[in-house]
Amino acid sequence: MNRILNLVATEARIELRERSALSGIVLYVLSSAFIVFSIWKQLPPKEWGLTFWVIFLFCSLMAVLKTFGKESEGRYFYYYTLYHPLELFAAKVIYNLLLLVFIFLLLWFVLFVMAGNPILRIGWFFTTGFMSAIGLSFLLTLITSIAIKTQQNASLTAVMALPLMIPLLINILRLTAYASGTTPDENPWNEMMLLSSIISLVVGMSLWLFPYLWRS
Amino acid sequence: MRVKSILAFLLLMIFQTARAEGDSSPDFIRSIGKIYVVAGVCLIILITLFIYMIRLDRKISRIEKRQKNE
Amino acid sequence: MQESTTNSSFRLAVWKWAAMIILIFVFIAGWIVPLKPGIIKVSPDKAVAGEMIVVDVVGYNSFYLTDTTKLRAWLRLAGDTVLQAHHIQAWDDRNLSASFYIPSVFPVRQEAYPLTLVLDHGSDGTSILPNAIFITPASTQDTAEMKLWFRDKIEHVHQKAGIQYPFRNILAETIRNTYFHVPMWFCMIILFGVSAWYSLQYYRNGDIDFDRKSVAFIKVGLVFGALGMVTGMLWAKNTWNAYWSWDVKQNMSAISLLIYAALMVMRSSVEDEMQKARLTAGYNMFAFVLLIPLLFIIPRMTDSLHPGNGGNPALGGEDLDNAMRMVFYPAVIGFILLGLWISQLVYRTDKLKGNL
Repeated sequence: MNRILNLVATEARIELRERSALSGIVLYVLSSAFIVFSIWKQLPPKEWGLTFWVIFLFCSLMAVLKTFGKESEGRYFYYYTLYHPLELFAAKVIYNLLLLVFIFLLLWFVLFVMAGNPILRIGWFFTTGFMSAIGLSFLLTLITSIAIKTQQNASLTAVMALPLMIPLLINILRLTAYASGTTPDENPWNEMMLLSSIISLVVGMSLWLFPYLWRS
Repeated sequence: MRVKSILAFLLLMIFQTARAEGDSSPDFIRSIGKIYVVAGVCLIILITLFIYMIRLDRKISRIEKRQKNE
Repeated sequence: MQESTTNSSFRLAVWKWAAMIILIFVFIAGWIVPLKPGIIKVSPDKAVAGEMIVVDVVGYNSFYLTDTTKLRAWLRLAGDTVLQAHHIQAWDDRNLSASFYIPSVFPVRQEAYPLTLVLDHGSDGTSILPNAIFITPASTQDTAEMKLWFRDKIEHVHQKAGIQYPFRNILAETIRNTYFHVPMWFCMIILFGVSAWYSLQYYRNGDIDFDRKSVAFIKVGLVFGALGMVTGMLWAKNTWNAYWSWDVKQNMSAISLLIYAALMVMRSSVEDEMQKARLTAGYNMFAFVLLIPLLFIIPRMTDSLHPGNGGNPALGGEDLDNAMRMVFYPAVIGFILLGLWISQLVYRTDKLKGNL
């Protein structure tokens, strides 16, 4: 556990040493939120949720890809000899999770300032956000670790990850609709159960497959 | 190449019929209880599978030719 | 999949013969068994309450003239509230006229009253057209006419003898597509499943042959998936009036095609053979496991235009009757066997190519 946290800290230190990395993500969130908002002008609650998750999805895709993109072949080899793949995976996932939660809060704040807050059940919304951050960080880390082994990693990550995200996204959108009161559905526990079971599927599968895929 | 031209022709045909039956009034494809929809579905399945088999056949022929040359 | 090593072109494995025979049966039975009689059109489709109306009915596959005395017709408001036709005149096998008196009062209060036409014939059996006539309320109401609604009953209806597929409003003959369009999806899912299983085998023993097998099954699965999508779009255009209705099942199938197409793209951009095989196996298993909630759970939780769930105007209640089951199940099995067969051929070709 200590080794993992160590790895996370290293990762964060490398990331934060270059100011451009984190500020790049912040700017990405800001500008995409601004563009979408300037198209919509006014966001009704339903569209607010949709916009939020679409921007969040693309931002997280970008952010996770970035954390992988910077590492050179040599460093992978170095990591590979030093750490067990699962430790490496855990470190990556924890780092990406923090990143995604950060993006989530930032995006929520930006949309809150620019378009108001239509969310009535804040607790539900934040639980959904946190759960989706867990699911997405596992999924994206695994897919990116596949995609960086190919020639064209940036486009392939999107191509391979986006369709796989859709089952998560469908549940997230329904829960957001519940949180903002735009659906007559008054029993969100079913959705929550489904979301958590999909996430546990993603987590289990990626923990199983990552050590296998990492070997090379 | 030939397969591609056949495909293009088929696509063109499908779009032609699609445009032809765009109006909602009962027309050829919806006459006789829409039986031509069933015909279209069967034809699409059969033609696609046949094209796929032809491609496979040609692939095998190529391999055979290469094998003979060696 | 066992490999047939025979050279003689007619010594095929039993299941391949079974595939052919079953599919021939499906194509013949799917086409020649007629539909039960039904009602295509009723005119006029609007009327005012408190008047005598004469309704012209256009039938489908019907034989009204064979036994005109046994023709009966009702207009049903809901449940037991029905009106029997006073007089029915069959003009020919496909056309008849029926006269009804619509009472000026209704047992329930609504803006408009959609009435369902029920027709019973001695040898044709019962045919139904939901929402055949819309009645607008009369200006003057006579409460004494209320009893007219409860006077008649639909009883002693007949069944058409012999094997026929049911006639469904809107669907009509396209109900036969059940045997051709639906098995495509079953076949796709089975092929992807077999492919995931071979990926698991590759994961276990790292034999490159399993990779070849799993990829062959994905390729053919993609073909069947694309077929299911195109045939579905053609069918949807003529029943739901749009090629793409953003229906749950349509979306889910499109997504599963996207996932596997992405897998093929990923494969083509990796050079190293072992790397390629390992990434394919990993992604394939991951994708298939995620596909299970996508294909089997989420569609069940959402309304769909497709029969079987949600409010579907075309099919209601019993989706498959016994006559259809006799063809539908063989169709599914036949197309799955065909898919396995083609995948096996693709695998053998790829293997030959790889060995050269």
